Amino acid sequence: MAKLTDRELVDRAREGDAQAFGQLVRRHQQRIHRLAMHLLRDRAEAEDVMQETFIRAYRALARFDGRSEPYTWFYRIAINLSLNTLRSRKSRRTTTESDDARLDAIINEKQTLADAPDDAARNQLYEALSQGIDELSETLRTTLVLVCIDGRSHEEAAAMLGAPEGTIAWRVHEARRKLKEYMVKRGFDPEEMG
Amino acid sequence: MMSEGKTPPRNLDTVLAQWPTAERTALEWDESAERVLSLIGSGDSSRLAKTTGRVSDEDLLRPPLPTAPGEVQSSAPIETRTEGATGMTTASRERDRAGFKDLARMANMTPPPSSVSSVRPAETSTPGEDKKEWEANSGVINLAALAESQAAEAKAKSKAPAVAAAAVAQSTMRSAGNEPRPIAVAREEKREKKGSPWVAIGGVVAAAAVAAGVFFGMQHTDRGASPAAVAVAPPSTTTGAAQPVAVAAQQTASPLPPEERGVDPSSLPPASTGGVALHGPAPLAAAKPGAATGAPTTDPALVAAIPTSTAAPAGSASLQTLMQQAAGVTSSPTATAATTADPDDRLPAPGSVPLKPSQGAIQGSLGAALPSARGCLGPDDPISHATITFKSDGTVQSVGVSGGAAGKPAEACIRAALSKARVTPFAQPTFTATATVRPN
Repeated sequence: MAKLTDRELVDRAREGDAQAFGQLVRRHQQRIHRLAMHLLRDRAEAEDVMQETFIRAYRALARFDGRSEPYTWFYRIAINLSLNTLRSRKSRRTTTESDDARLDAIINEKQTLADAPDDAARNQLYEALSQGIDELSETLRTTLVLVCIDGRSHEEAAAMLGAPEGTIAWRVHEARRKLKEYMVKRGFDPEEMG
Repeated sequence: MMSEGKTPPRNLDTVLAQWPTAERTALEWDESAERVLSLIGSGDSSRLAKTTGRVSDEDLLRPPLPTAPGEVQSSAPIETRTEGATGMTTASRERDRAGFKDLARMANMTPPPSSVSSVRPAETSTPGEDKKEWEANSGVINLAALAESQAAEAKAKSKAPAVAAAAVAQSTMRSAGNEPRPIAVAREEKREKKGSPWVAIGGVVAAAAVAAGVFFGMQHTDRGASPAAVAVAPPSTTTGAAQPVAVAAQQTASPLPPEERGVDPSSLPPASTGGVALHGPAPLAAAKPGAATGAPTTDPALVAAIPTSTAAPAGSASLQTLMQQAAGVTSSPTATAATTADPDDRLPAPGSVPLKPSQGAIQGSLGAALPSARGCLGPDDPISHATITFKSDGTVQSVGVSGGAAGKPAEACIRAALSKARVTPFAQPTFTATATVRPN
């Protein structure tokens, strides 16, 4: 089972093999969760989005046409769910810096590291970056998260977002430029942010 | 801040790519996966679905993001990022590149044979010739120019037969193989005048080759002329005697491979019998390499049809023939004979007529017939309505009259008047139109 490709697992899951789909979930849940956390900045909501992503993907397996990789399909569902959650959240509450799930790991790491000045600088850096990313539009932010943080190629991001690669490249370029401007305004070294 | 000595040791990309993530244990991830599977198995909705409402599958699978302001909708990447690439093939990738593939395929395609000019614009474009270039390459067939160029060609041939024969041979070698190209011939002559001494030397060599071709061609002509070569010779051309010879010279002297010589019409699929101009373009034996070197054709039907074909006077080139030549379609003698023999065959084939008559045709037809129909009504008669049913050949099958004139003598009068209406033939069995007949 472990050696099967995603497509083979999807084929098996279509035939009713729940374990095959479980394998797919185990394979991709971390990245889906991470993506959702960067988009939502909320751990609980990210968990919910991850679960719902796989539930909806399983129920729509028959609609998967196989033209792209299954994980791009999961990503698309996750992004749509995340954006939907964000839009419905706006009327309910706003996220504050203190409960930004993106910084959880940095705060946890800081408590374990010995070099306090570096920790402070790193913490400041990621806090500023988080705020700078939040300043970006939904489109630029999502594309930046996919490409620059999650490490997806332009080709993969294009498949996930249903946009041409050139558009993805432009969005990344624009997001980086705006983020760099923001960071420089916050006093960070422009050359380091280049 | 960072500018006070706390600058991070990495650039923006590195910082983003190394964004720390809160780690979970494998057990936690397993539990998470089990929760997902149990939710799937139980058919329950997740907490998210309960809190935010159910989103349709269509919305979930749709491309997620709106277009950003000022976004570049381009398939050309601005920058290249290779990290994380997995070589995945996606539909969007295929879609983006399909255009380039198509362009590459089009660039490699052999252009269709052009009977107006087989010379590329780049070879002939000179400042004074722009208009002629456009005329030659625009696809517009100037029949007057065609006739003039034929006359000029004939003059040139009478003055310098060897040069003309060489030009014809060169033109033929560049063309599809058997099509008369009068304008192309004239252009080739111009090119020779402008060419370097090497071109002249090449012309001499070509003339020698043509002379050899003429020699062999004359031999074949003496023996009774290859039927295929006769079939190729266009009835209207003034270089009729030289054409088969030129074809023969091409076949014997051409150093070019067939694909560089142009499209071989015989290799093309037979056109549909959709129209008069496309009546049965049977592949000509003379167009095939080697067939014009004197080998008799093996098609008995073609041989049998030759007398009918050659019986047409050489100087009576009809517009149809000229257009066929211009369109690169060479009618087989058999088809031509059939066309002239059976008048019924002149009717358009089913594929070449419209499904139904155009609105303009109906209006024009009824507009011509309506005045006389109106004359059937007196000044105080009420309005009548006529339903005219046309047959597929364009004539009126029946006329129904309703309204004030129905059941009166005027009905027959209107019927007779409208029965004279005619439209262009159409494919449907019948077509019904209505008209209102008002008194004058």
